[in-house]
Amino acid sequence: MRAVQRRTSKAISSAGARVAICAMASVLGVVAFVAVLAGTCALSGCSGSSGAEQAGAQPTRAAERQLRVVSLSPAMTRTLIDLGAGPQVVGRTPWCQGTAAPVVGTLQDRDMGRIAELRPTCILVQASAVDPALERFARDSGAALVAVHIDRLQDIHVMVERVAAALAALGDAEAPARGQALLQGAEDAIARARAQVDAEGATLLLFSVDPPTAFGMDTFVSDLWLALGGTNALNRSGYPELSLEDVVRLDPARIVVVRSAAGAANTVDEAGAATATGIEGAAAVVPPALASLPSALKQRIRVVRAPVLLDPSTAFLLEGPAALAAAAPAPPAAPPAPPPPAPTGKTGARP
Amino acid sequence: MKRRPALGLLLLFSAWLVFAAIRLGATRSLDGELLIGWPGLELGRYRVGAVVSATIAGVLLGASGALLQAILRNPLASPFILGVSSGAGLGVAIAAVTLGASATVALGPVATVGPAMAGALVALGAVLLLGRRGGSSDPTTVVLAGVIVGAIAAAGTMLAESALPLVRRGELTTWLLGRIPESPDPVLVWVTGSIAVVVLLLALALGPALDAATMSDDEARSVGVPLEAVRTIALVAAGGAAAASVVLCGPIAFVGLIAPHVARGVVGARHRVMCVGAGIAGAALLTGAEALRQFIDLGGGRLPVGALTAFIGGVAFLWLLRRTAGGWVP
Repeated sequence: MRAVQRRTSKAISSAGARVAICAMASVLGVVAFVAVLAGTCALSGCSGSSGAEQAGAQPTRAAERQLRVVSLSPAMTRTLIDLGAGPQVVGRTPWCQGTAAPVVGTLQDRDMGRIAELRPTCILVQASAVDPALERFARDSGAALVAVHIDRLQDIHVMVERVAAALAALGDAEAPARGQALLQGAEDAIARARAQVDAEGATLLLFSVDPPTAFGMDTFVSDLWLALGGTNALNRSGYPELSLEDVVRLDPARIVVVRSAAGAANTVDEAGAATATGIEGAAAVVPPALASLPSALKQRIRVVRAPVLLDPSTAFLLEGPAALAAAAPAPPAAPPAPPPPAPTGKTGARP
Repeated sequence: MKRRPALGLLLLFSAWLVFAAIRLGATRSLDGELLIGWPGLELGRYRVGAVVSATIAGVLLGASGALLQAILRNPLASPFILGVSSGAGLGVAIAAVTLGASATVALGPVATVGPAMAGALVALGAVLLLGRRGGSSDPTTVVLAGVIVGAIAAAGTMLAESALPLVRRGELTTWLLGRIPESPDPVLVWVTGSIAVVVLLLALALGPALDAATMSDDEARSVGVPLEAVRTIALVAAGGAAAASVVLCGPIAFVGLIAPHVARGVVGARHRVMCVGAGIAGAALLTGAEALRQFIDLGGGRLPVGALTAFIGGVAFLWLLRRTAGGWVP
């Protein structure tokens, strides 16, 4: 047996082993890439810096020039459109909607040559730190660079103001007023939704169900829910991943699952109504990944299909309150009590 | 030193028992509080589900790794060297792009199980076909084919990921990191558990032939081992086991690499016992990682089990690399 093992050793230390070393190294590389990607996502979600600190508009240098905007943020593109500057968007990311401008890549993977060809006078990015190459390009070309980091509801307000200010510096003097009107509309939307929502009890806000991943306290969706008078069941920051055991231990009054449904209108599935009507079916209401929760908890699940709730733009400000409030509608007001019956005069004995 | 297989198996089984007991009896709350004790059936069933999932996936990965290291005569071979996990990842990525968000929500785990299995089996089939030279499976060619198929599948996954809307990329990334389901689908548990039992029985049956297969081809044939048949059966069994593991828990790296070495060190190099030992060692490693990760929270919730096994496995890989530089001593 020892002889066999010795011969095995020689065989093993041959070319095959070296090939496998390369293979395992590549596997390790892929795993590390995925881990770094996930870590980056988590960190960007956990960052607590505010948009006010990060915003870096330099509009004055490009003042009074033709307005040509390259937006590397879907949320900022939507905001531009709502500010009436949609036609001025000359470059965008593949995820930007509402404009037919050519795609120039994403914030991380952009085509600088194409951006240069478009001769932008304003570049919008949603980031906590701007790539030095992009910063250098903006400086050399004289384009205004507006960078806003968005985590909180307030960051979206700051973003709207910064974008409007940049537009004003480039000749659209009415932009700040339109921005203020949008922000006022957002306040009104919250006020209207607040009157329609039943925010009693703590709510667990999920954006993924397998595994359950939640909106923590310092996120824009949580901020909106708090603005509607609700309470976040999760007393943590960022977007933490939960176990099913965690969900049961939290015992929230309701579980709102926010889902993206590209192209779909903002709709809400309410467990009770859907089960009663049979239109949606139970599977569409209680995601299978949450099906093993206790029945009492399953009854509290609401799946909201509202892409605007995942897009920190003006659309979120204007349409998000109603979409989120739809997950917990206030019970209909009781009909007014009927007036007491008029005395008929039939009672009483005749004298 | 003469190793006693029965004692070694008992030792590995004890390690699994200890880790399973820790997972069943202790966890960390969201507030960081240490929770010790059985929480009752309502909560405890999630812990049982996690232990069952980790055990089955660990057995599958460990046994698969042991078979591959024997057949490919390579101490650094692991289930994922056959491109199985990359193929499964590509299947899930394609499903994510084509099914859309609504279908993924409605189908739940089914949206990943089918595509993962299809992707894993297609990748395995491609590797087995490409790995043939002169009408028979050549270990070096199989490894090279696995690397290339895995690289192509990984590239396809990245391509599909780039086509996904930003808000849905996280779901794919989470799946690619691997996770231990707390409430696994009962049908899936039965199917993957049955595959684990079949693979272990096959390993028991093939044990003596695998011992001979670690010698040169001529030597193995000279003692009457039908090398081609043994290689084909072992490769299919190993690939199927890896695919089943990916379907249950997603791609979990390095357990299949490390478990056979742990088993070899504890029960010895005879494959009949070593393959079973590798299965138990895999179960212990994965259950241990699942138990350990309950207590590690870097701010984004508990550490993904795949990241933990990759970290531990990476260190072990480097150790093995240095060790094999001077020749492999089982």
